[in-house]
Amino acid sequence: MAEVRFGAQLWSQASDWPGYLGAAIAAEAAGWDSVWTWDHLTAIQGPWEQPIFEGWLAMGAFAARTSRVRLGLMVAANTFRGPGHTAKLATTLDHASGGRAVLGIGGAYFEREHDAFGIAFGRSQGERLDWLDESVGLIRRLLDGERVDHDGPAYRLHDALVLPRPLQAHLPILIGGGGPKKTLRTVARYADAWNTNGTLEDVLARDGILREHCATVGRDPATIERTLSFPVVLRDDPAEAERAYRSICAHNGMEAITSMPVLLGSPAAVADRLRPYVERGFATFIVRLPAPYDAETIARIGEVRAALAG
Amino acid sequence: MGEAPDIRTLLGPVGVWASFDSLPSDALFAFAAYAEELGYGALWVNESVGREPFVVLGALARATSRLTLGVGIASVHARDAVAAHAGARTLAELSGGRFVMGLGVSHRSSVELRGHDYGPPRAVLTAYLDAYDAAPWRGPDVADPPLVLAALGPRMLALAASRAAGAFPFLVPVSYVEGARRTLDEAARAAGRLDRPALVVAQLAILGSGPQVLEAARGSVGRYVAQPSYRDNLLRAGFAARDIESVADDLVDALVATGDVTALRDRIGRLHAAGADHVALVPLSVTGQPADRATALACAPR
Repeated sequence: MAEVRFGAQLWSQASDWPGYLGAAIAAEAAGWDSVWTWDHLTAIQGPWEQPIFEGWLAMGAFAARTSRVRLGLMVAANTFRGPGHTAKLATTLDHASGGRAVLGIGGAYFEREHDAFGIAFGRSQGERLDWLDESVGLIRRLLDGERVDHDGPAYRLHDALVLPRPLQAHLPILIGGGGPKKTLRTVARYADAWNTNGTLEDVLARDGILREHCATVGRDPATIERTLSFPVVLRDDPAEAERAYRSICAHNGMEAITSMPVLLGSPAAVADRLRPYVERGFATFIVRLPAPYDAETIARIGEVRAALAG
Repeated sequence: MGEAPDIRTLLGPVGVWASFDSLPSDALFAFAAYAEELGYGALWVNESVGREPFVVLGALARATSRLTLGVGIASVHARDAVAAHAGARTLAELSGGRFVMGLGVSHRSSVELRGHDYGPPRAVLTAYLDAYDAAPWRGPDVADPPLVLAALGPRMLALAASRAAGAFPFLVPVSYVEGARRTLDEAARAAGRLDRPALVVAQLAILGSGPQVLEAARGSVGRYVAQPSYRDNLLRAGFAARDIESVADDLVDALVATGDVTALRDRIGRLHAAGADHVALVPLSVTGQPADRATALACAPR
C-alpha cells in the first residue's frame, strides 16, 4: 500500500487569528504532513458575511511558525491573479518555508466573491477552465526559470522571469477539481498532485478519465499524487463525533458540510472508511477542518495513520 | 387522455442504456442516481430473460426525479399488447410523465427461448401495435407516453414513422444514421405526418484505448452480430460478411466508440450531426462490464 499522508485544510472563515494560526502549529505538532488553507475573499460555507482571512498571506505566517509541514493553498483561485503573480507568491512561500511550498490551484467557482470584489468571472465554467489550463502551463514554465513571452488568449507575458528560483528544484503543482473534459486534461498535462472527493466509485470514475488523458498526452499516471479531501471528526463515541460535527457546522452557520463523504467516529472506524481509497492509490487525505479546528481530531490523526498501517 | 409529451424534450440529447442483469440491484439504483447527477436525459433499461424491466422501471420511477426512463426495448413476445400499454401508462403515471415506451419483435433465438414462434417481424409488430392502440384502459387519466420501435431495416423504420413517435436502432455505425434519418423523414411525409419522427440511436462506448480495450469492444459487439437482424443490417450498411463473421477491427471501430473524453464526445456529436435526436450511450468498462462510471462521466452532458 502507498504511504498514507494527512493534510489539514484549515478553513479561514469564522475564526480569530490566534485560533487559526494555533491550529496550524498544533497540526504540525500532532504529526500532520501538510497544512493548507483555501483561497476565498468571502465566506463560502454558511452566510457569506462571516469573517475570513486571506490565504497566501496566512501561508506566509504559517511558514514562519512551522518548520516541517508542507504548506499550500487548497486551492488558489486562478481567477484572482495572473500566472506571474501566482508564481511569485509560490516562490516566495517556498523560500519563507525553507522549501515546503506546494502550489495548489483551481479554476474557481464562487461567483459572489468575484462579483463583490470586481474580479472577472468569465462567461462559463468552461472559459474559467481554459484560463486555468493556460495559466498553469505558464506558471510551470516560470517556476522552472524560463523567460516567458506569451500572447493570449487570456494572458500576456512579455519577457517575464521569476527570480529567485524556488528552493525546490521542482515546486509541485496540485490541481483541484474533477471536470472530465478540461480540468483532468490540465491535471494530466501539468499537475504533480490532483485533489478531488466523493465516493470510491465517483473517484475511480474520475481517475479512469485522468488515466485516459494521461495516455493521450503521454504522461505516466503513476507520477501524479492522488489526494482526497473529506471532513473528519474523531471521537471514540460515534454519537459524540456526530454532536461535535453538528457543533462545528453551527459555528460556521451551516446545516452540514456539502461534501461527501463526511467521516465521523473513532480512528479505527475512520481508517476503515479510508482503506478502500488507499488500496486504489488514493493515499493522501487533506482533511477539511473548519473553525474552531477540532482539537481532538487534530491531536489524534496519528491513530488513524496507525490503524491504516496495522 | 392527455396529449403525449414531446419525446425530444423528454429524452434530451444524450441518455444511458445498460443491461443491468449482471449487477446487484443496489448498483443499478446507484448508477441511475449517478446518471441523473451527471445530467443525462434518460436511462434505458433493456428486456432480456433477466429482470422484468417494467418492475425495475417502476422502482426507478420513485428513486429518480429528473431522469426520463425508457424501456429499450420491451419484447412483444413478453406480454400481450394490453398488458404492455397498461405497463407504459402505469410507468408514465408513477414517473410523473418521465417515461418513454419501446417495443420490438426481438430476435428469433430470444423469442424461441421464451417458447414462442418468431413470425414475420413487420406483420407481427403491426398486429401488436393495432392491439396496443386499441387496448382498453380503466386506470387513472394519464398522458399516453411516447412510443419508439426497435427498427433497423427500411420497412421497420417506415413502420416507426407511421405508427410511433420514433425509431430506436441498436448497434449501428454513424454512416447508417444518415440513411435512417432520410428513410424516417420520407416515410413520415408519405404517411402525411406533420412532425419529424425521433431517431434514438444506441452507442456502445469504452473510455480507453489499446489492445485490451479493443478486445473488450470486440467482445461487446460479438454478442450481437451473430443475430441475423444485426448481421443483415450491417450487410446493408456495407460491411463484408467475412468482416462481420470475424468481428474485424474496422467493424468494431464503427460500432464501439473508444478513446479519451474528446474521442467519445466526438462520436456522440457525429451521431447528432448525422440526424440522431437522442444518443443512448452504452457505457462499458475496459473489460466490457456494463454501466461503467468512468465512461458515463466522460460523456456526461454537463
